[in-house]
Amino acid sequence: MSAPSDPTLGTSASPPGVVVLGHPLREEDVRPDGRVLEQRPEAGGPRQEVQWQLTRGRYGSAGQDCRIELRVDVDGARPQHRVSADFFSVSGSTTSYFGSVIVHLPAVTVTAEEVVIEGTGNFTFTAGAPVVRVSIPRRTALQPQADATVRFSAASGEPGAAYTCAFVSPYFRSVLLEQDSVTGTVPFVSYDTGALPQPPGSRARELTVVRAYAEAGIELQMSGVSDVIDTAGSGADLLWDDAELHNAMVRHFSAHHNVPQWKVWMLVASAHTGGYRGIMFDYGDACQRQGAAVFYNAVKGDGPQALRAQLRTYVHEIGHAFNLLHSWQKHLAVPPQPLGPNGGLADLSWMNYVQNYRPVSGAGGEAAYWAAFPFQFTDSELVHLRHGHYRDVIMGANPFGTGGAEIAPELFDEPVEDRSGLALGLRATKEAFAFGEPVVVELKLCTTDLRGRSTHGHLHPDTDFTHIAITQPSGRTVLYRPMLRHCVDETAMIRLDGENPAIYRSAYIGHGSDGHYFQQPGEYRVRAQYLASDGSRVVSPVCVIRVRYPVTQDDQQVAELLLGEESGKLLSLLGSDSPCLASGNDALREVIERYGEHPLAVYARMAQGINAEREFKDLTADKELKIRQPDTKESIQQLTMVADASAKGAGVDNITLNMVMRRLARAQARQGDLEQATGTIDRMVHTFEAKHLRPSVLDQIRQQAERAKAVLAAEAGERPAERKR
Amino acid sequence: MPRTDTHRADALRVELTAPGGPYPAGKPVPVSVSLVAVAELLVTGVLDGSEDGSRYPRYLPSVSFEGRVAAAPPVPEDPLTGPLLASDFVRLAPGEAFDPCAARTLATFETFAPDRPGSYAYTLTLDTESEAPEQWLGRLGQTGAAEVLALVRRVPRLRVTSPSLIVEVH
Repeated sequence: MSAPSDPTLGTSASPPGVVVLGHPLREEDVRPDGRVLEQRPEAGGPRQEVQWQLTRGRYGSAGQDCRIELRVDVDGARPQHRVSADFFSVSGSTTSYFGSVIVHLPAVTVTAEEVVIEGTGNFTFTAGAPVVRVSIPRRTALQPQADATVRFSAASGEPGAAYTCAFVSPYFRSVLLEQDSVTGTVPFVSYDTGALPQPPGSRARELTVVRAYAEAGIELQMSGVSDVIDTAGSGADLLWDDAELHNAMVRHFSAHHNVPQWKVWMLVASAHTGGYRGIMFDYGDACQRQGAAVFYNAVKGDGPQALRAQLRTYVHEIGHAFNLLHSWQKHLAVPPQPLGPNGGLADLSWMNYVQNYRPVSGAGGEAAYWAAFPFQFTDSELVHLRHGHYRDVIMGANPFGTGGAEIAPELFDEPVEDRSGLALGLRATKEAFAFGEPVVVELKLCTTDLRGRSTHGHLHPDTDFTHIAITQPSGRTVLYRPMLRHCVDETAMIRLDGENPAIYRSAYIGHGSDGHYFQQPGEYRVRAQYLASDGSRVVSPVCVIRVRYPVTQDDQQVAELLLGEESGKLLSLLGSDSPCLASGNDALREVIERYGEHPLAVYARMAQGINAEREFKDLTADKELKIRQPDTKESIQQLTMVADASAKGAGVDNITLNMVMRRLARAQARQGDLEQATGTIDRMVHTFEAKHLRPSVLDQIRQQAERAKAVLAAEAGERPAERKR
Repeated sequence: MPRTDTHRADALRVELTAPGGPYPAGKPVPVSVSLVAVAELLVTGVLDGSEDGSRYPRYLPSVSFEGRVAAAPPVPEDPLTGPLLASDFVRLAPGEAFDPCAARTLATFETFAPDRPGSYAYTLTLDTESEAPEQWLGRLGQTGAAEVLALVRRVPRLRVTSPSLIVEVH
């Protein structure tokens, strides 16, 4: 796998230079609004106030191989004394997330010229230069905001990479919020926090949902798109369940994609079947936290109490989309987070329940909550919102409440930007596989560019250009590693355009160099990555593969025979005479002889039949080369049964069937029966015509069939005697 | 684990007690809850979401004053409840008592402060009559579902309300 190199080392994204720290600290005064005042004595005159720009906010670097998004949070309103950054690798026309870093409680040095922030980072990857130093020249309020320079270094002081990051925004993160509503509901607009008594430290202000997040340092940009959804979407009962909400999101969220993106959808619906006030309903699929809903019937009202409660519910549910858990559930996160006082119930947060509020001392409950709640998130929640690792916060990435996996899943992340002009598809060849059945997937590479694109044709995962990640039912994610990797030096360029819109490959991924990957019934999530000629990293959507539980005793027995390690190798190799795999061949023969009628017997027949069709060279221990000649009779017998079963839809997938029938024809031709061989090729075409494949695919098969017949005829003409033997 | 009859409303009693009294207005009344097993059974205490009815088992508290409900759980906020664990289950022998609020208290009883003098009636209903065992599972961090669902199936299906605990406030 071509993982990006360590972005804290090597080439700098900006010219190297020396940041000079020259002047001693001056006394600082940070006002409640975040502005920094400095008393600067003027020679012979009165002291004059200078209003400095805050350093707080988001900065971004450009870069050919890597760019970073930096967040500086050491001044301004409720500073959390953190610096964090996300790294993105740039490959060809694609940009992909690489990793994140956060520096907790860094040392901050403020001089007349600059603010320097320094500390050791906690990285999501092993960083060669883990010490982070951010320097930002100071600017007065009248000057443009200064760029930040980030320098990484090893603990020894050896310098690493440096990046110049331009100021982007005073907000740490920016999210697009699209809000739709159901007919008959009235979306919340705003609440004046002075309308009801509030704690003395909380100033009265008009709070919208957007404003509440802005106070947390998060920019919610309201989408210009806002649908009013007809109530027919919720079914006849006018109540919404989670499935209906998810369906509504897919249909109405104009920015919806099952990829990580800073976008969230809010639906103001009528009522939920569970009677809830709100819900973040997108917590059960591969790309979670993209949608939330508030239920008007449960929250409606235009009095100040109702508006206050509505504001809280809206902010609360969107908080879940940012992967914030309830105040008393922080310890359930992966990895666990510390609970606030009183098991989290004492948190004065948008994420607590008003009725659950229990302060450390004094009365609890709803009235106590509102009397003390300053309309804000807790500090630890602010750290998550502002500085949480990219995948932990962005919608559509890590599942609600959970974290990482065993391989670096970022390598299979959807690029945040994709101008490759290519799309990769991955699909299972069956709706569900039987337990023990070889899992075969179909890869499809096509172009999304109407002008067409050229790239290489190495689409099979046996090459170094295509990789497949498998998330097993346990949640463990592993990389498919083929038993034999095919090195491909040649360019093998292909053109994808209107004439040739896509190429397909079928790949057996059930077994590889790590053994069997689908060893238990359950649901697997698989996705592929193709490295294009221009370096673009094209990632497929997630494909769900289901492995059924065995139903009968025979199912169990056959599965055990096929899931043996040597059986797996034989299926990967499409058969072998190797003495080292003798027990595997015994197992496949047992499948054929004892369970010949079982649906999975076709796989054993295929491995045995294809192996028999070719000669096998065995270099013995005493260096003698023994050649076993093709056994065409055995091959024809086994492959005919595979082809017959598969033509009826009870055997192998289409691409494999194509290969099987051409091998069968070759065996027939080698046996001297060219007429039968060409008949098999013709039957192959008829078989696929009956399966109603796409016209372009059928054309390719027809051309392939003509070429195969020509080759068979030529071979038969060249060596008729040998072929007849 | 005992195998229980799945529809035994008489398998346990719910009892509320409050020491002493009368109580001053403006402060919560220290109400204690006890489940007393009549037969051997398996049960859980109050879970995340039990009180507002967003998951099973439901522990539904109520306080009445002058014939009207003075305190009850609000509409459930959302259903994102924490996981059900095998360790949440307790086996009770006949006659054995169990405090279901030992791990998680009932906010209604703990925070409701009667503001007027008079007699307040406290009740608690335990409802395990879920339509499906899956209604007991949490929606956040739920693992080992097969194991806990097997335990859920052994909990008797019942809906039992405690006798009213009358509390005098002055």
